[in-house]
Amino acid sequence: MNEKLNPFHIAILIHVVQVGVTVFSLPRLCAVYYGTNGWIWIVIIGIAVTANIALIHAAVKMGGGRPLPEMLGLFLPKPVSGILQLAIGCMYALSACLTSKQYVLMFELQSFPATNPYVFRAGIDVLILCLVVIGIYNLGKAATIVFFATIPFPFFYLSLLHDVKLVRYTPFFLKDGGHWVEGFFQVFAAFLGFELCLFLVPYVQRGDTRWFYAVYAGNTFSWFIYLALTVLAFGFSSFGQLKDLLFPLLEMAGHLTLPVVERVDTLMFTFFFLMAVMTATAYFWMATELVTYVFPNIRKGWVAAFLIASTYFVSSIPNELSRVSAWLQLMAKLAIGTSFLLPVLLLIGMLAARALGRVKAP
Amino acid sequence: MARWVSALFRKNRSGKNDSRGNKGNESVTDGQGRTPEDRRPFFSLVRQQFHDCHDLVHRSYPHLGVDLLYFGHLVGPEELDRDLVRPLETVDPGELDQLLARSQFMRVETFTEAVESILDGQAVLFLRDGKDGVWLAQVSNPPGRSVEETEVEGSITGPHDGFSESAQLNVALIRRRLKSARLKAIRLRVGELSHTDVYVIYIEDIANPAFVEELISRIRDVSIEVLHEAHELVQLIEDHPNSVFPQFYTTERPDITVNKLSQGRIAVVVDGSPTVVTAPASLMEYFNAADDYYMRWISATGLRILRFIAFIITVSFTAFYVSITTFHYELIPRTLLVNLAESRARVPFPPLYEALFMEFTIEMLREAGARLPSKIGQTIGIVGGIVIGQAAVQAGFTSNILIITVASSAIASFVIPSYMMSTSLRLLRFGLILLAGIWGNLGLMLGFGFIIADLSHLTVLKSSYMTPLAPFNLRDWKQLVIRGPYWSLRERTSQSRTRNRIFSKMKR
Repeated sequence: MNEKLNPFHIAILIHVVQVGVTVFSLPRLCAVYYGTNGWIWIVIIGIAVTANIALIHAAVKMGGGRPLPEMLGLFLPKPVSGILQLAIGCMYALSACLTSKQYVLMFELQSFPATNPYVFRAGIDVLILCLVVIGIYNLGKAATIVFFATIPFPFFYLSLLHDVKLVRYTPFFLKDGGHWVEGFFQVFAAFLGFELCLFLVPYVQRGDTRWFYAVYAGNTFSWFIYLALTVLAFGFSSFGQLKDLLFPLLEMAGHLTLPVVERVDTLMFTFFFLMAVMTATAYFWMATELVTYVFPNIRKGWVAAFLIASTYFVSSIPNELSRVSAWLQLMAKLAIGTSFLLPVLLLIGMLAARALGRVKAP
Repeated sequence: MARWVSALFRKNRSGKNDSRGNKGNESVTDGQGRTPEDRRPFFSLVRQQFHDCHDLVHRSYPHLGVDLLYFGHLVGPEELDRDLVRPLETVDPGELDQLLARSQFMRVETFTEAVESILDGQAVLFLRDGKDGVWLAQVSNPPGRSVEETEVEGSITGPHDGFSESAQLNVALIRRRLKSARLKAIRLRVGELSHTDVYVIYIEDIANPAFVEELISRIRDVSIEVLHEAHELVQLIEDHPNSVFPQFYTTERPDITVNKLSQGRIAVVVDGSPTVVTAPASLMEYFNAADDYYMRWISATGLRILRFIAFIITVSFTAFYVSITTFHYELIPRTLLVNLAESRARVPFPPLYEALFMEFTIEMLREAGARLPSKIGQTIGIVGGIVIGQAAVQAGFTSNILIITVASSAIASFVIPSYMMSTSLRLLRFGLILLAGIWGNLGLMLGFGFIIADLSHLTVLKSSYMTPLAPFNLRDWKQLVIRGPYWSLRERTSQSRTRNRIFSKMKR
């Protein structure tokens, strides 16, 4: 690969991978888990996510341009690092497959109640395979196109501003909530995708350390969009409605009408397909990178095809939206754990490797 | 005899048609293991080579010991008369050496060179059977079309001349507009039998040398017997031959070619083709027309936006109709819903079949119209208009709204200036219609996903096809996406990777 990812594409890529269908249920999650004015937790969780990214940044800096598997190999025995990579890879692959399955089931709920979702998913998986094999640089280009195709939609919500009632932002903060820890995981899951930055090291300009600020920028943009939409939802719908509606932001979009399109929500959800596919693709790509490093003799295309095919069958076990969501929540918790613990492990390991003299201090 | 023929072919393969420079046949060089007989172009040997070629003309001047060989239809009669026949008829035998020292005569050293010169349309002069020397006279002027207006890329404002089939003429049309010694034209030859001249043209210090080298090396690597056309060459040298999208920009207009060259791109002129190829190209270029640069920038920008909308319409409008009438009635505004339901009520087929039937009809009409003479073509237009306009609706085959949809898609495809791109997009439309008919909006998005995946990994000479969208470059937008005012167009586009980026130094 001659060309390297530039900061603009990294920012877009991180944003596009982060934003998925969870955004539509974000106001409900905030209302259910944090209660009145629960949107305030988006700010707090955003800070936690930024801290997590800073942790990864520190680990990447410590690695001095080494890719993740190489860093692990510096302080872990080969079998241990191999098993760890395979485990993380499998988790990412399953998360990716469940993300696409969640989207398909949600779409089925809306438009195709009688259609078999397995054929849909097979079609989507072929697309994901095509995207994974073109590599991360081209994925960055695809993300840019998807970004430009979907960026108008958040602005559609601005036309609902006149329906926002200030009275719905009650003076009470975080009443009727309760499950803060569970809520933290649920809302944090909406930000997941930033872990991609850990895998981008070999694909950026060597010696350039500023690229990581693009990761912060991409995450901040997603954070801003989440916050703006959730604040809007809290002013548009009552607290009770927010708790009851499965996808409050889709319901809000249902109030939008264009002269040529009656139900903007359907259209918006349709375009979100590309976002969901990009998220799933990025996770499959990360999984492929990890597995390829353990088995360097197998071509990436075959690894990706194997991962996509195998997770297709595993993810067929949960067959309802609620069960898929439950599986996804479990995967999200594992992914959150990984996103915190992996950089910590890398930092400690690299310090140890440096102390043992395996790596030169910069 | 067989040895000469094999020597000739051996040269063609090993030499890879290498003739860089202005002299006609520099490709023939020594030191490649040829036999001494091969190096000496005797008249009898050359004549023997062209046995059974009844169009070869042999003239002899016994008092001078001179024999001439040439193809009568490849030489210009005036040039032949002025430079060769008249001087030879009037010259004294003692003054022949002085005559042959004139600049129109060039010494030929080898047998192969002599044969190739005759094939190129030169006249070859043998002095005493070639024992005292062989010369060629530059009298080539093969028949061909003169400069005419191009039919596929018409323009309202701006120049009307188009390229023709002669590479020499096409290079001349470019040179006439770029009177600079920095405009370089490297001649290559492609085709073991056809020996087609291919010129790689670029402006030195503006075009990226790496692109020039890459293009030349790819053209040299082409190994076919006959090269017919520039589009054929393009498909042999492009990065991704299996993609549906055209990757090298092709044009029949000298003004567009000159514009591309000045932007740091490289042009390829193929003899026998009125099409000139420019590279590297990006998707956005296919939506630019020559007129854009002659109109006022606001009007030109408006037209470009119109073409981008046309792009979306031609690819997805019919598919969207199929999707919403099959699965997503909720998207249709209530006011339109009644009309649509009434219109669809009499149609016995599902929207997918209805749309495919209409699209096939339109495509057949277009294809028939493209091949037929213009007088009969008009009849096709009328028949098509009646068939798809009224009869299909009255017979209950299709709905009125589908007619409008299909017609809009067809018109939108003709708005796109590049015929190659327009053809590709029409093909994509069928794929999207099928997907929309099976899976509705989700299928449509799936189709878009595949298009995005294809576009994202496409490269032209290893540079991104999607520039300036991805890699994102806002400065290029005023050149490629909109048409910025001339005072703002200061730099060349980034895709050409030129070292000399400043395009205009005008201050305002």
